[in-house]
Order: sequence, then C-alpha cells, then structure tokens
Amino acid sequence: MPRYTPGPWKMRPNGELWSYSRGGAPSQVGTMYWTGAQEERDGNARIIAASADLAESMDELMLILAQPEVTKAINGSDRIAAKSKMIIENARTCLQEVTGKQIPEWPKRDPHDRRLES
Amino acid sequence: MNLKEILRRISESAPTDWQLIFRPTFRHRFTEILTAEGEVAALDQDEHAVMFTMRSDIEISMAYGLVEQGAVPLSSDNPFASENARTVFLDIYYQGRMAHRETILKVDRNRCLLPLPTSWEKPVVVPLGQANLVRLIHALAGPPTDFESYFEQAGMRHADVPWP
Repeated sequence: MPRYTPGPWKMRPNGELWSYSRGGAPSQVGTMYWTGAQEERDGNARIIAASADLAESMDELMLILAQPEVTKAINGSDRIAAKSKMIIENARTCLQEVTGKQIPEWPKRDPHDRRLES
Repeated sequence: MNLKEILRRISESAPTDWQLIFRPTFRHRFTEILTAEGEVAALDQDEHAVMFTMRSDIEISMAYGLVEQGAVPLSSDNPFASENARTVFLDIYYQGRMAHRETILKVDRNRCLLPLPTSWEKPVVVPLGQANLVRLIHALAGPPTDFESYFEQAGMRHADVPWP
C-alpha cells in the first residue's frame, strides 16, 4: 500500500479535509468541492474522514479472517458459510482497491507473505 | 515489589494469564485540536483500546492503545520505511498507580508491534525483557502476524542488558 497521510482525518464543514495525526501539526489533505445533495454531505464527509482508519482496520480484519481457526469455524457452519464468503469477498475487493495490491481470495493467503503465522 | 520485579513478571507471563477489559477504560486523555495557525479549534478525547489485568495478581494491570505519534518517520534503510508507522503507549499499573510507560512501535501500517529501540544502529539491540513484553502485547492485542519475523526483518537482536 502506498504511503498516505496519517489519520485521523476530519472534514470541516467547508469541505476541507485535515489530518490531525497525533504528535504532528495539523495538515490539510485536500478540499472537497461538494456538489451532491445537501442532506448527504455530512454522511459523505464522515465516510471520507474515516477512510484512512477504516482501511487499516479492514486490513487487520482480513488478516484475522484468514487464520486457520477462523476459516475452519466459518466453513464448518452451514448457517453462515455461504453468506460469509460473499461478505468477505466484497471486503477483499474493497481492500484491493484501497491498497492497490492483489489479495488472494479467502481463505487463501498470500504465499509470499511469510509474516503471517502458519 | 519493585519495578523490575513487576516488569519481569509481566514479561515472563503468557497471554492466557491476562483478563482483557475493553472500553471504556475510564482513563481518558484530552487533546487540543489546533488549526494550522496554532489556535485551539476543539478538544478531543480518546482512551486506551484495552486494559489487561493479571489473573493471578490483580494488583498488576496494563492499558494499551493510546497513540503517541501518529506518523513516525523511519530512515530510508529501514525495511518498513515505505509504509506508515506510529507509536502507541503501553501503561503498566501496580495497585492502580502507573509504574511504567512503554512506547511501542507499530510498523507496516499497523501489521506488527515492535519494541522501540534506543538506537537504530545495526545490529539493533533490544533488551530481552523489553522484547518479551512487546511480544506479549502483540499476542494479546496485535494483528495476527508473526512477531519473530518482523523482529528479525527489522534487524533487531535480543541482548542481556539492563532494562528499563
């Protein structure tokens, strides 16, 4: 994943997106020029502002989902196995878009990523 | 009980020795949010992500997760320099009183916890007790990655040197 402006990000009412990374001076990430519906702007701003932290959380979540104990539990449950695969696939696609890296389909893991426990 | 004894007991403990208590921790930090001009725009509050209590001796507890530095620059020869890194606090309490604060480095955009060395000069020497402490926290609250491989990749080596 390429470097990115550290979170947390906060969106100001005027559309300016700022990074308030702890220990550093506030820095502006950019400015959003709103054209959408007025009542959707607050929601849109929240999604954008949370995206840096969201991407890191999603990455960590995908790591835990690929652990053998978790895959075994999910695949062993008729009630949730099918829908879980669909949900995880959607998450994987999103994470690929964010990181720009190919992520193997669940429950496979990147064989070159030896940092993950076997 | 002295500080070294507390840290030794924690460093030698196993993840199963700890009771996890998630938020609220009731140990909050208030931070001024400044504008680019340095004026106070608002107050923000945050807290540790999780607390740990030693099951066999509840006088010993820890809190982990408050971010110290949101963006830590690593030198270009560091293998994790191309990804975001940050530092977080691990606070250690005895009878509810803070006894030690350990700063932990999170590298590879959050994928591993590592000890924060006093010097990055190769080989990067890390006291054994400090390494064991961070390995414990990685196991308790870190991502499901291999601490040892990251430790090795960072060029870190255990050393029998005084700590803290």
